Amino acid sequence: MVTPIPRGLMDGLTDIVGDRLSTTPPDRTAYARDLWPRSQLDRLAGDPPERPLAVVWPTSVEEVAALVTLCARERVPIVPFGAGSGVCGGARAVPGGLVIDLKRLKRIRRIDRAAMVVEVEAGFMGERFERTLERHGLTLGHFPSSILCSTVGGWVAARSAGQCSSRYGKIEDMVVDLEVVTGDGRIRRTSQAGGGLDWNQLFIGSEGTLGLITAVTLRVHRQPEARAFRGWRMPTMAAGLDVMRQTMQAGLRPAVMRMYDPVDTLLVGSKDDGKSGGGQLGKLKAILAGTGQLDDLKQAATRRALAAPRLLNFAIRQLPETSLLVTVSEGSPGEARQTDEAIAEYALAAGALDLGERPGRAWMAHRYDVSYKQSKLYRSGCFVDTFEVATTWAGIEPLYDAVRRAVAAEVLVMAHFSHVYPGGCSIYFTFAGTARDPGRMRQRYLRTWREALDATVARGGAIAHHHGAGLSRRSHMVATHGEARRYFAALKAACDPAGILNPGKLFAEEAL
Amino acid sequence: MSWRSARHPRLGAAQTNGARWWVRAATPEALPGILAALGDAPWRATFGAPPADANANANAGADGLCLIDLGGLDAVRSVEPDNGVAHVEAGCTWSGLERTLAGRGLTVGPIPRWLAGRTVGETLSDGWTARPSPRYGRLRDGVLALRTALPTGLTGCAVAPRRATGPDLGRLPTGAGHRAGLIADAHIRVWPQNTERAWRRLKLRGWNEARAAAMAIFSEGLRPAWWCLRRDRRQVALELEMHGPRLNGQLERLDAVVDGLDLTVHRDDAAAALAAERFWQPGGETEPLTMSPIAAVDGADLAAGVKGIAKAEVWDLRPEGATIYVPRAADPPPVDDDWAALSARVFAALADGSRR
Repeated sequence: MVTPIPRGLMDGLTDIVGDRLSTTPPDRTAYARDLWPRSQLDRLAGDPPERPLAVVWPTSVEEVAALVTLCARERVPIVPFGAGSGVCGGARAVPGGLVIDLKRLKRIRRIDRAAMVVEVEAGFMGERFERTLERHGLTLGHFPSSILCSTVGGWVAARSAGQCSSRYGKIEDMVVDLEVVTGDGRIRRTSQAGGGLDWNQLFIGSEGTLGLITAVTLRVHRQPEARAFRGWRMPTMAAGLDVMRQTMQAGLRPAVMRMYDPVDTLLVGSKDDGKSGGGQLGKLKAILAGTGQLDDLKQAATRRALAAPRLLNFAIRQLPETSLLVTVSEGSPGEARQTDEAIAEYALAAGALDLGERPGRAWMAHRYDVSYKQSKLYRSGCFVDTFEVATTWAGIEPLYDAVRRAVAAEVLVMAHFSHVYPGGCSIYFTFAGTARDPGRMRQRYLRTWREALDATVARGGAIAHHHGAGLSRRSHMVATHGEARRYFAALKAACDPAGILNPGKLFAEEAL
Repeated sequence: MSWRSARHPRLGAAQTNGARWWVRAATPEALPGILAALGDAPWRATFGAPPADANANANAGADGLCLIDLGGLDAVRSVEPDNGVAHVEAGCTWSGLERTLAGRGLTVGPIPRWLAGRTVGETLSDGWTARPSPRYGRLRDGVLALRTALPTGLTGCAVAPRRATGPDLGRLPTGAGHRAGLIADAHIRVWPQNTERAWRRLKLRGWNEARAAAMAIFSEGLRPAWWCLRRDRRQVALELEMHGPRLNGQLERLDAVVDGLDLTVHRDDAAAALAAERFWQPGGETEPLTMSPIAAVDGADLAAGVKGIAKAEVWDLRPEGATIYVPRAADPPPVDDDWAALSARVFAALADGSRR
């Protein structure tokens, strides 16, 4: 069945993109949502996301600008779409709206080795981009676990972070210039703004609400010549956090510092113990990550276990506090060695046990083992999701405890600490739960999110570190930004006067 | 005409010189009330006592401008060494902050002397937030959270090292010249003080060679506390300061890079003198702006950018670019008309929204 798209709009779209347009149900269904688990639960509960009117595939920034101009005139909402791997609903379709898939904007426009910058179009896929740079002896240093299924434009739009952010920074630290189509259809370059506002930092993270990012100029680095891998068994989480803090405040820049809480340590440790297959706990970890096999027996066992989250979480609290800290230091041979030695000095002083290279190498080998297919747990009547927050060093343990306590009655929860900066780090929670039917499962999922966000706001933490806000955190954006929400309203009014750009994302319209 | 106490029709007790009003904010929390009371009346932020020549004339209320003085908001509200954060009010000067931090063994990093006497709020509002330090980063990037007063209240967000909660809304007042509200206070990143320091000066034959040397050092992963290129008679010098900890290891790597480039190295003398001249030291004096940025250039265009300039210094050196400074006060960089119009629409919408 073909959707009843207004004739004038259809003609206008065809004039711009020709046959790179679809109104067919399969395409509209495929572009109705991203990988926000809530959308999957909605579908299971018989309440699938609404589909867009149509999907278009522009191939140039001029076509994007023409599409925006047309949609502004016709008051048609636009949802920009990259690879669709967002996990917060930022790319969920808007009823009656147009999805603009930017993946055909996929050229590298310039590699400037003297200035060490690369200009790339927004639709370029992440892993292919990094491989292209590698052929030139370069790296962006941005390795999100979604690198196989995300675009450069998506990284910028969602304010993403890669696994080596402690050395190379988050994406907002890498952007030199943006090419953006604002809601009036104008093509703008932030580098031409001159003095005044820092427009890069206002468009980065805007998730398509202020403009469509069509190209990005990024700082790049020489490929590291050397890497030093290390694992440490920390006697306590607190000791591990202190090693991370000391390292960063000393001005060192390890590529990776990642510490697992006791339960995650147990799961990761069993996977990374060097035995093939990894043991039962390793398999559970793989299941949660969406890569493990799940037969009927395991499905039933997992569901039964997750049905008693309070008991599971209580048992976890009885685990020894031992935490695995994984580090990767890279750069020139001298820098990698000196960073590794400095971390060793801090770790040994904190009573850590040196586990050698294996944990670091194992982490590296498995670092993209997060599937772009959603976890098979959904098939067995369970759900799984992740929730990343950030705060200052003194706030990390209290925030970790507060979130765990807040959701302990609803879901099994574990965490790791990564994305380490001089002032603090991120906590990455993974939670899994179940309920008797899809409707109750969705209710439990939503309660879990609300309680986790409430606890984070109450503890003064940032409610998102790198997944973005989309729809999943929209309920707490006013609480987190306070009066600064007026800044967003003003930016929105100026950049998107017709109100067509990804409406309702980040902030509910009535909240502005 | 001198200032005297008078009753402002909206604010109550204030000072006036006959033409303008002057009111001093007691706390950051008082600022939204002042802005709300002023409503549409014009205002401007000042730091410190009103100037004697502030448009004084006998025609009382000639422009009705109210000067909101943030100079009294000069407290360092808290210092959290473990978090590496200082919470500082907008009227505090960078030198005042550094003095407080020095007593706790902390620092914000090198502060140019011309910046040291300016207030945090003033520099952030004006966008004067560059700071040429690869190790400590730019001052702007060291602002972890910023509170701004709007007529409707204070903005605020979590103090966190990074976030992904939409655009960096806390960045909007930076460079906005108080058109996005009054900057009330900020959480600023601070670092442990380093007693291990070393200076180096490399003599080079020209700007291109100098830039290549800097990039070789950068590629080695070395991050000087500051570095600067400047012309020295016919030669160009690259001067830099390295900070510990583990200074010896860093210097070994630096020497290896320099050996590979076959350059002459001078230790400590001129570079240390440049540091003393350019950067504020506890107990030292501040100075007015003597070197101003005149151009930001792409990395590869450095030689062309400094051509014809007799006494140029190049700071804020990065692979993708650099900033050229000359010894005179210069206007801030021009804003592109199209972007200026967009910014104006943002400020107009903000004013409109704040009234509603």
